[in-house]
Amino acid sequence: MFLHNYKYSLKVLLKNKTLIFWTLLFPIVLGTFFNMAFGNINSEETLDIFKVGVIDSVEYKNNTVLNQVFNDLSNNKSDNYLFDIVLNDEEELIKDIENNKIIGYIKVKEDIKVFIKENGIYQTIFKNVVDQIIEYQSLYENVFEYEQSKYQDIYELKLIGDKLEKLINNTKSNINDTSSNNMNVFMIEFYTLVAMACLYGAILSIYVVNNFLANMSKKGARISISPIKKSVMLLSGLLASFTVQLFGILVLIIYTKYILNIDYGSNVLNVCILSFIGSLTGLILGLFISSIIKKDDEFKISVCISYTMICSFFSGMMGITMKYLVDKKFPIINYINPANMITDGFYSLYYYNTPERFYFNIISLIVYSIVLLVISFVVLRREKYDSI
Amino acid sequence: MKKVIEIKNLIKHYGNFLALDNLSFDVYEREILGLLGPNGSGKTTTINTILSLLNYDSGKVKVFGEEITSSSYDIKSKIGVIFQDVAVFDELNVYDNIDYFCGLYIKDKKLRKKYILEAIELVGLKEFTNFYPKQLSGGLLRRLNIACGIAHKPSLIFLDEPTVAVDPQSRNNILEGIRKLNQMGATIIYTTHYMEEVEQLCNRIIIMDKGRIISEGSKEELKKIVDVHEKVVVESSEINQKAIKYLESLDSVECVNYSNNELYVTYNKDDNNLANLIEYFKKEKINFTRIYSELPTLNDVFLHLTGKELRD
Repeated sequence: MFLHNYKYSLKVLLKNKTLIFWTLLFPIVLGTFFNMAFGNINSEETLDIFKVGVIDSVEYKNNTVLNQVFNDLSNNKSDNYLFDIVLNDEEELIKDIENNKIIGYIKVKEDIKVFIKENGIYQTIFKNVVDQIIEYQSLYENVFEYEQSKYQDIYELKLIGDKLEKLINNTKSNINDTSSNNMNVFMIEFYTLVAMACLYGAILSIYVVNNFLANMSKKGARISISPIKKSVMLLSGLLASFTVQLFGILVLIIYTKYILNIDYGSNVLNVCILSFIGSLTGLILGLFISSIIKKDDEFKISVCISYTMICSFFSGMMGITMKYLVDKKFPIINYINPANMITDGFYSLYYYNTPERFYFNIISLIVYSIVLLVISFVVLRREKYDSI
Repeated sequence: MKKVIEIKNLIKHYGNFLALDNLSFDVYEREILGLLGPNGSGKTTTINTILSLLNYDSGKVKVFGEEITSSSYDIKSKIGVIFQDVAVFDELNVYDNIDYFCGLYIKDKKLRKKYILEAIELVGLKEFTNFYPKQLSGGLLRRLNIACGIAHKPSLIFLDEPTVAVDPQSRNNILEGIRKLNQMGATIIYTTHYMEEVEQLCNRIIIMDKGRIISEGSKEELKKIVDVHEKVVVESSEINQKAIKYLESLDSVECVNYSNNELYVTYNKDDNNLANLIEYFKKEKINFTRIYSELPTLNDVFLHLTGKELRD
C-alpha cells in the first residue's frame, strides 16, 4: 500500500505543471537571470592567453622591474601566466597589430608607451598591467633611491624584492581573484537560490498533504474513509514529494555548478548532506503549513512562497547587504530563518576550511525541522473534524 | 432483515446551528434507502457522521454492528462513497484514477485490474480510459467519480447527490449503474433532492428537513400520508358554472379550480374519477382539448409535511 500510494503521489506531482514550474524550473530560470545580470562570476574560464608585443630595445632590457614582471606574466608554468610576448622591431609589431596577431605593444624609451589598435577587454587588461608597472616602478625607484642612500644594506633590497613579487601577484589577482580567501559576494545570491529551491519543496508537500486531509479536499475525504492508516498515506506521499524535491535540487546544483560555474567548494559530500537536510526542512515546512492553516492549497502555497521569499530576502537573495545587516543587527532572525541556515551552510563550505560553521547550520536546520514536525504531528493527530 | 447501519439519537451542531436533531434510523441489508430533503436539511452531514469523518455531539452510530471510528479498517474496507463534489486527481487519467482509489482497498493487482475494467464497463467509460478529467464532460466526470467509489465492490455504498448537474443520458446511466450494484448485493444509501430519482430507485425513503426525519416509508406508504389521491386536469374553454358546482357537490372531490381555460379537480378517493368526468362532459356536451390524470408525487408529500417545495 505504501508503494502504491508512493507511485501515484509521484505521478501526480510530476504531472502537475504548476508544481513542477515552482519547484524545478523557477529556480533554474531565476539562476539563469542572476547569471545574466551579474555577468561571468568565474571569469577564469573565459579569459584566454593573449599576445602582446615589445619593441626590442636596450631600454627594455635594462628595465629590470618591467622585465621581471613581463617574464613572470608570460611564463606558461607560472600561476600568473597572462600573455605571450612577441619581441620585435616596431615596424613588424605594427604589421602584427594590423593582422590581429597581437593586441598591442609597448615602446620603452625614457618612459613606457602603450600602443593598441582598438578597445577591448584584453587591450584594457594589457594597458592596466603596464600602467600598474609604471606606477609601482616609479614608486619603488623613489623608495629605492631613498632607502639605498639611508641604509644600503641587504634588508632593504629584500624588502623591495618582496614588494616587486607582490606587484606581480597582484597583477593577475586584480583581474581574477579566485582564492578561497576572497569571497565572491555573488555566490551568496546563488546559495540563497538553492536555499529557496530547498524550501520550495514545501509546495510539493502542501499539495500532497492536502490531498490526504478530509477537511481540505474531497479526495482527502475519499482517502480518509479507505482502510489505510493516515500515517502510511502521509509518509508515502511525503516521500514522493521528497523524491521530486531532491531531484530538483540535484538538477539545480548540477546546472549552477557546471553551466553557471558556481563554486560550492570541494567537499561534495557536505554539499549533498546540506542539500538533503535543506530539502527535508522544506518538506517539513510544507507539512507544518498544511497542518496549521485550514485553507485550500492555493492559499497555503501562497503563504509558503511568501514566507520563502522573505527568508531568502533576509539571507541576501536581493542583495548581500541585507545578510550583513541581519548578521550584525538582528542575528536572532538567522536562528529562525531556514533559508539563511542553508545559505550560510553553502557559504561556509565555500569560504571556510573548518567545518564548525557548516555543522552549526546543519544542526540548526535539524532543530528547526524537529520543532515544525512535532507541531505538525500534534495538530494532525486530530483525526475527526467538526466540519469538512 | 439484517441491519447494516443503526443510528440512534444523533445530535450534531455546527456552532449554534443544529444540523442533526435527534436523528434515529436503521438501514437494512440490500435495500436502497433514499435520503430526501432540500439543501441544508442534513443529508450530507448524516453521511459524513456515519463515515466517521465528522465529530458529533451525542448519539450512537453502528455500521455492520460495530461503532465506527477512524481506525475501523475492517468496516471501512466494505464501504464505498461517492461524494457530491467530484473527488478525482486531475493529473491522472481515467484508468489511473480508478486504479489509485481501488488500490487503497485491493492489493492483488490481477484482481484489481478485473474490478477496474468492470467498474469502467458499469459506468460506461470504456472509450475514455486514457482521458484526463479535464477532457471529460460534466456527466462523464460524474461517472468517473462513481467508478472511483465503487470499483472495489463495496457492500455498503453512499451516494451523495451523484447526479447534480448531469445530462439526462449520464443520469440514466448512473441510475442504471446503481440498480445493478444493488442487484449485485450492495446496500445503498442515496441522498438527493430529486424526488424522481428517489421514486425510481429506492425501496425505502426517509424525508429530512432541518436535521430531522419528518417521515419515512416506501413511496406508496408516504403518498398515503397525503389527502390528495388524484388530480385531473382539463383544458377547455367551455367549462361553465353549472359544471363547477356539479363537481364541487361530489363526495370524492376535494376542490375545484378553473382559470385560464384549465380546470383542476382534486379527488380524495379513487372512484374512476377520470372516466366519470369524461362521461359527464359528454352528457353536458362540453368539449375539451386535453384531459389527463396526475397521481400525487413525493413533492406533494413534502409539501404536505413541511408546507414548502423540495427545491425551495
